[in-house]
Amino acid sequence: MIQGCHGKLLRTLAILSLIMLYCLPSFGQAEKAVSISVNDLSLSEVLQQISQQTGFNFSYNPDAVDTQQKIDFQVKEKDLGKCLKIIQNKTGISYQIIGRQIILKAPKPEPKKFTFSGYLSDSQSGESLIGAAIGIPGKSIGTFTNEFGFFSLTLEEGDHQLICFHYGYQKRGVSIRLSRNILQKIDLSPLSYDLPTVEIAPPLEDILEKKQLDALEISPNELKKLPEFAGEPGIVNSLQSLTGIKMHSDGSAYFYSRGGSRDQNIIFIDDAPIFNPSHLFGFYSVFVPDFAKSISVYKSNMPANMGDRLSSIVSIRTKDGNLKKGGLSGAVNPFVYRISFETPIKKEKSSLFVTLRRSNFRWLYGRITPDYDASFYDFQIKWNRKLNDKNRLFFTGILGSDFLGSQNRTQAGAIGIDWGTSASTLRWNHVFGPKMFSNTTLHTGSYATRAFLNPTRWNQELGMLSIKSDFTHYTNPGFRSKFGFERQWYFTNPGQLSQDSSLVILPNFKSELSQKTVLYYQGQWDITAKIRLNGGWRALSWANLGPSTYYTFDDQYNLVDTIQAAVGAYHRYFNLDPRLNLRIKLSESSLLNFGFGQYHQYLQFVSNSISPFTTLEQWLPASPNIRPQEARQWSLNYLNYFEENKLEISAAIYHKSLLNQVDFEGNTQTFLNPFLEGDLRFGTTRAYGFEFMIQKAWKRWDGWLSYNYSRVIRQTRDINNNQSYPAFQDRPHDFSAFLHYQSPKNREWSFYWISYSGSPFTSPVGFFQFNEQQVPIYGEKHNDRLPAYHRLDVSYKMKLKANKSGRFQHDLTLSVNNLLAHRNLIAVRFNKVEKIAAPFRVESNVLLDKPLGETQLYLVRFFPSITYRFSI
Amino acid sequence: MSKLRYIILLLSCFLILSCEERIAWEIQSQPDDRLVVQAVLTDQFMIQSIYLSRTSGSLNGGFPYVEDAEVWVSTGGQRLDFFLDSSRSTYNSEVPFGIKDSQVYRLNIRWQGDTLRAESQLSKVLPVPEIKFDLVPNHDSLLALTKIGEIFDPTQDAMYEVNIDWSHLTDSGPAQARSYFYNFSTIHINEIIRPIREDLVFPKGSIVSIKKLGLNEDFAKFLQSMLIETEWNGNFYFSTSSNTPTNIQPDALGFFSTCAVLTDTLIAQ
Repeated sequence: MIQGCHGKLLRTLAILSLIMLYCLPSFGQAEKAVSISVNDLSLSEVLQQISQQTGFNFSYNPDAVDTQQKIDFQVKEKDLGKCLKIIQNKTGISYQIIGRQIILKAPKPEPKKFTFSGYLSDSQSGESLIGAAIGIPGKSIGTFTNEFGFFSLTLEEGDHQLICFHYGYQKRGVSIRLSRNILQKIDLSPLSYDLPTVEIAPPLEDILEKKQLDALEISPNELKKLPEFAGEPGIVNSLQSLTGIKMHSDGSAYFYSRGGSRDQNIIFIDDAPIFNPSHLFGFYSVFVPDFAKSISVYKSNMPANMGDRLSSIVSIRTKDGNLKKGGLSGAVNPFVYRISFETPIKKEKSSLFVTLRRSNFRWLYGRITPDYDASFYDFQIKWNRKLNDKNRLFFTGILGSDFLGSQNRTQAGAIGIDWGTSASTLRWNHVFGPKMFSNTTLHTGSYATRAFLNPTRWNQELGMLSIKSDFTHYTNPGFRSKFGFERQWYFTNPGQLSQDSSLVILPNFKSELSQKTVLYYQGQWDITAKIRLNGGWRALSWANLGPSTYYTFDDQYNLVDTIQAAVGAYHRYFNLDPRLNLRIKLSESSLLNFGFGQYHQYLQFVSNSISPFTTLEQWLPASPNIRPQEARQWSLNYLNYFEENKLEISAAIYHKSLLNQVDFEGNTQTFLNPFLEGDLRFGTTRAYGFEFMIQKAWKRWDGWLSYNYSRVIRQTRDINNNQSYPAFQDRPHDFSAFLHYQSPKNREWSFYWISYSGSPFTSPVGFFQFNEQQVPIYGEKHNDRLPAYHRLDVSYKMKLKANKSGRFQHDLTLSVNNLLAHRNLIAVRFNKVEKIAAPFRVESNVLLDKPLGETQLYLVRFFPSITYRFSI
Repeated sequence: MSKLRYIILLLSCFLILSCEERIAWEIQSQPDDRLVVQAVLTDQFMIQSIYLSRTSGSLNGGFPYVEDAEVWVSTGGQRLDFFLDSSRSTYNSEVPFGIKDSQVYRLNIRWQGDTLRAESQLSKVLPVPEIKFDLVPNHDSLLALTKIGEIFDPTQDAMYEVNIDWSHLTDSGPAQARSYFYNFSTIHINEIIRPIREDLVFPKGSIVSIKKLGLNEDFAKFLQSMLIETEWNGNFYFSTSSNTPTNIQPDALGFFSTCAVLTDTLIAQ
């Protein structure tokens, strides 16, 4: 007690002493107030007057301090300190008060600065490295390469020792003598093939500097650790394992990010949008794993240069192709086979990367349905050419196609459906100077579905063409800007039917053309060593272009008028979306991040299907009847590293308000419905949640645990009696865990567990009979929930030849999806009768009066696969 | 087997581990006893029937018919009364009549102190298309009727009530069947890939009676919605569930419609 009082007393005395020390000089100077008002007077004369009024003497070196310079000086009753500061501000001459002497020092010359810029690339393949670090060790001066491997670092003149680092590569020191701007290419050597990744973690300061808490940077190699499904480490399926991202259900390529709808996510490959990333209704994705180089996932604070989606943006950068030597890799499993080929066209200057994948299902169905076929294929190509040190050209082409139906498509009565995704990008990287990098792209994307029952054909499509110029200015190590513009044209055909000439009564659909013009700016400013501000805006103008026919509806959704729009823009929207992100480095191992963003979306996915399967979706643009969807999101992220960065704990909370959310009147016909816009209902969504993740790496083990609590509540006018209801993706609890072990003998084990609350759905509260059929009666929307989802996946990978320098490498992967064979329901039905030795069926003879039963539908239980991979 | 069925089978191959199983699902039934109206009057001069029943809280719980309602149809100042025929559980018109074109018919039901109303106008009907029977594989003497026309037919909305009788061909087992087929001028996602429907199988020589009803737009929308929730529900593509619309006001279920009808009877060969 006494000790405590003594300590408090000492602290109080110390504080009082400090206050007195601070105040004493002020009191002294206050006694000698200065009043001078002169213009264009030499500094020496001003100093003389100050000296006379205060009694302080000036001392300086006349050869270094220019006292003959003329200044304007007006002060009235100011203390000495303020007068000296004014002089310092006007002349740059600094001062120091010692006793009654004032020492003046000549202004320090501004040090010359030069910019060291260039590209970081893989020493073996020439592949540019994304997100690699370059900086001065021990100082918080450094930068990271952008998505094209470019960096720019402005430093003072002189000699500098820099360190370059990237995941999976050996550190490399670089010595530079900076007496002019330098543009240089730096190669990093990959680490040994069989070293466990946990031993090559970068320094903590680099991790913290690079870490974007609102974005997930994923290397395809990390995703490959996850157990695969049917022989392919599907990128989309792997995305669904990330915190805050929820899968739709088994067998689906749909996903939901922080409560947003499934159409509020977009995947870009080299800037080109992929409108439908799935094959075979969603079991596979169009992304061939070997083709991807880096994956960035933004769930909040989406960059101003990307858009326009409300919930997430996934940006995939593809490999450039080996500039130094050719290579061949491939994989074979019972369901698909793929092969990739890369080669330099001109060594160190130009290369080509081609990959081809095809399904192999015929052994599954050949005997049962010999005249019918089901297949998919992918073709992806990347070409690049270095024109010189400052210019580089790239071309990316992606083509994916599915078919299901009669083998002979031209025969009378042939039936089937085919659908395809394509995207292409022609890109020009140009270095304007050491501080300015530009990326100009011309890109296209399209998705089309064609269903046919000869001679009837139905097709719908969405296509886009875009030109975009993006600039990055590296003003100094603490400030950089990103700005640019984009012009896009969208072509949407919600579904056109063609038939034989005997049938003429068909709805008349015209394709819609829309135009989007975007200007954006985003700045990143390191205010202090601990605080980074990232802010920007995206200004967007949307125009519906004529000639076109559109309809107007009254408040009761009745058709009011048909309007023929002439050539040119007949309807416009303009929005300015700000975004702000503040990152605070709380300590040497922890970060706090606060973000706010507003977003608009101009394309909507029009489907009232809640099936896991994709393919038949249609898209509608914002129009006079469809206002752009809007979202505002707040998020707070926290990250802390422990145990020399081997343990990472992160947490986030978020709140999202979404406006103009699309829903449907009951049983809306979305196909061939010219008045579809009148069947749409608009409402709001409120999503909020908490995300927690712990990651641990320990010798040859690594893994993570993740828990997510979230709610998604919708309210839509004239749906559910205007009462709020949980959205399909409202699954409060979501838990997942991953464990990976790499043995010294080049064996790898992976375990992945996921559990989440079941999705809400609408179940009947009663039945009535009409035409001798039991028709369900529904009460509140989404009044029921499917049972909780649980799944354990396991994989075992064997490297068959663990030769570090061997050119031929191959491995075998065995994996089991849903090892515990848990029944994960996708639907519950109330309309079928049980048949002996036959699946449940809908009864056709109403006189039989067989009782109906409730049935559950689920997809994947205990699905094993084996895959052989090789590379030369 | 229909071509569509091949496609469904093919799809099933990919979902080889998919499964549909019986489940005991607790229905959150509401104690809601509502009136259900099935009133389809035709242009045939005959005793017209209306079926009134109640809702049920369980899937196979039985749907008791209503005995205590007052039912009449009015048109052009004329009132046509319907009386309960307890042997058939229907309300039958007092006199035979047929729906006439260009007239609005109003259904009135007084039940438990409430008066419910609906109105309808006669729809047109196109000729009955050619009826094609499929041979059941491995059974030379059995036929199946899987469709009449195409479900999606932009030219018409129609419903077929098909009654098949082969009691003259056999002495054992059930020898009658009834089924409904539809043509719709609009298309829904559930309709594109439907669940497998049990084949309507009968022997060669059966008497097939077909009644084709032309549907007006609202009745077609009701039937299509009903099918989305029943026959077309349960395959790989499915939409959000929703109540079927009704034109009975202020609060009842079912539908009142007036339809032009064509009939045909043939021997299945």
